[in-house]
Amino acid sequence: MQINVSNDGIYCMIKIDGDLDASSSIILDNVLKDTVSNNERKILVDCTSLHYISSAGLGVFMSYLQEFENNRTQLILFGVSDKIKDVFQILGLDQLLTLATSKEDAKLLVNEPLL
Amino acid sequence: MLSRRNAIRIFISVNIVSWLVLLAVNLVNLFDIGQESYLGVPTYVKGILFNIFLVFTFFYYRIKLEESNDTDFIELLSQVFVTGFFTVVISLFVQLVVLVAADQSAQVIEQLSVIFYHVNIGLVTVLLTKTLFVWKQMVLYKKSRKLQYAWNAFEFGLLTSLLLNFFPLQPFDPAFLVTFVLVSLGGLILSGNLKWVAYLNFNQKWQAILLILLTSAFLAYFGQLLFSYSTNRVVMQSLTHSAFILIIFSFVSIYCLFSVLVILFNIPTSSVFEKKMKEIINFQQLTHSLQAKRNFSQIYEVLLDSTSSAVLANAAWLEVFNESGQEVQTFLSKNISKEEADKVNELLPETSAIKTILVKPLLQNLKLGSALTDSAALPYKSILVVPLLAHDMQIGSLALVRNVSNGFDKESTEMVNTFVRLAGLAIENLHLVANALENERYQEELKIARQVQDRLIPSHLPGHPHFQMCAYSQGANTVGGDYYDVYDLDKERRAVIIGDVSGKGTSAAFNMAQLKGVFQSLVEMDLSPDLFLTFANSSLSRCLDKSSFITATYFILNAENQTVQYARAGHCPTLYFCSQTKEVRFLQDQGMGLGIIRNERYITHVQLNQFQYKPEDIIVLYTDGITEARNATGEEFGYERLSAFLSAHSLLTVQEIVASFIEELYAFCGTKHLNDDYTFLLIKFI
Repeated sequence: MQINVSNDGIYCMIKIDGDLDASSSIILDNVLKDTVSNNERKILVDCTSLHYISSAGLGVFMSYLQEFENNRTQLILFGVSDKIKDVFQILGLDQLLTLATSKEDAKLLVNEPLL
Repeated sequence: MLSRRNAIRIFISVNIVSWLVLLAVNLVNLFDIGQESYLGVPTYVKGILFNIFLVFTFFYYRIKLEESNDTDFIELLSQVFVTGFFTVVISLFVQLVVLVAADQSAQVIEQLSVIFYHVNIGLVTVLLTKTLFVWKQMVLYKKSRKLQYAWNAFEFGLLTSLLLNFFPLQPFDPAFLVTFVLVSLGGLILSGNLKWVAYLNFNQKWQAILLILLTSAFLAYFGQLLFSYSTNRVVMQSLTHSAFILIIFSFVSIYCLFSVLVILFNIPTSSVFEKKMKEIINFQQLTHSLQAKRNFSQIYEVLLDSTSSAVLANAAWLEVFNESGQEVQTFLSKNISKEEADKVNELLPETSAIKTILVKPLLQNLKLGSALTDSAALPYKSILVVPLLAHDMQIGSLALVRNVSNGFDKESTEMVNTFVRLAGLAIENLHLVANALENERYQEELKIARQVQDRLIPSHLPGHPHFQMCAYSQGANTVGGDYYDVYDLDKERRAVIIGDVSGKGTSAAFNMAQLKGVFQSLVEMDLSPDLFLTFANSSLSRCLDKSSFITATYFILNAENQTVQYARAGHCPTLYFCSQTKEVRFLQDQGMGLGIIRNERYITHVQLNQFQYKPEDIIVLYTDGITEARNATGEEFGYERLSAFLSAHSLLTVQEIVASFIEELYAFCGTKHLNDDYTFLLIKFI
């Protein structure tokens, strides 16, 4: 599992490759912690190479939702596989996370001011 | 057998007695010169007395010095020096006495001379014998069997030569000559054993030379004294006529000479030997680190110190990477700062072992040359970089630099390589030990979690006139807990809950205990399922940890109305079989897991559902351990198989359905041991 973080000034791009299991979700936790301390307000998560997400991985995302909401941070996931979309949907996370189909759509969403 | 101490006492007393008797006899003999002796003591008696004296001195020192396994050679040499010193002093003192008494009568002078002579015999014998046996210890240092036999033969030869004392022989008699030459030759050959010299350090070598030279001076003094007696007509036994004494004298002197020469010639190379000894000590230290379970930093320190001193490096540094291999986690250096080390690192070509995780084992002698010295003002001209390997991976690298070009030869490189490999082994060992401990702790933890979980799930499902229920739940070893429970609200209504707890090991068990507690307390309040979940979410939000959540579905089965009311908190969709239409479908509804929205807005995400059931209808409650169970090729069991199974087996009793489902699940997976907890709860309406 690899996580690459890049920043182009407007938004912060997090690319996750591989499986997000219990041990690798700790890395994701650290990455998200860094974005908070760096005051990132627009975060895109590239899930095109994300194959599997465990409950630990889901928990990591979920634990930052409130904080992101408080800071008015936009978190947008794109390229999510159907299988993982189903997982989000059963859990109810699809109502809380913004999912985009592609990087371009995600960028468009990010540039819209928060309602 | 005599004890050692007693033997020594006997020897001393016999020695003294025989010496005194010999003295007495010779004094008496003095009166006999030129006169007819009425005592008529024959020569051989004198020979016996003399021999007794020699033999017992011999054995006294032999025993005394036998048991000391002393390898402190300077100490031994000092003992010899001290003995020599005292014997010479006493001898000089006696000589003084004789001089002082020069104005006495000739007779008195002669008597004094005899006494003086005997004293000297005693002193010389003592000095020579003591020195002989101290030399024995040096010769026999690190001895082999052959050497031991050779020495024993030499001693035997010495003792045999004592027989000659019985005969008034001249030095050039054949018997005398042959014995003297043979045994001395033996002594000469034995004098080649000087291994102890190599084990002295530089200072000790100079001390040894001094002590031996002084001892040689004492021996020379006694030597000239003895030869002066050979012309003295008064003296009855000249020690120069004693092969025994002469042989010992020659052996001891030759050994002195050889020792001094060998020490002198060893001095230039002693530094090399000491370096080798230091390297061996370093190897031993490293090996101890292997056995004594030290921590990593001690291993790193020993590695850095031993390698830099082994190759005379001017500076050295060790970098250890963190787990992902991206950054330097530990940096240790000697005689160089991190900034300087980084500068050197930058100047190395791209293929350096530091920058890649390649298998190239050794990168040696990169000439840093002027590029480095000009730009960084650092004096290093050659560098040796060795990757630190453990578990077939590079976990770090060691760099050594020297101020001279071509500063690392093949031998140094090999030495460093060996040290690094040893250190790698020690590190692997520590990792394995740490892993084993952690693993054990983990297994214990899981065992406890399993036991806790087993107590939280109902041991059996109570029967009911209107609902037939059967459940099968099995825990996995590694992941979080499943939960289900039932509660009869009244005669007609039964509450059922199924839940899946996230997390692993003990934290999952705790979460499940919290869910059970929440269920047990809320269920009696007879809330509608959506309210139940809302309150459950509220209390769980306060006690679940930050990134944990729970999925659940809460049902109220009502036999009176033949209805099922339920709300789904993010759990797997319930499977429903309609006996009338024979249709199998998953109930669709909106839901949100517990602990995800930890405020009052949760209720907006909860949906209350209700449906009517007919007899023979079936609902299946399950956890994702069922649908996500994988077979050998990684294919998941999935929802389709689940619904297909129910379709095909709907007419059986609940127990039969559950049993055959589990069989099919195991058949699909190819094993009875699944990776995740799984629960299968079947409810058939009557």
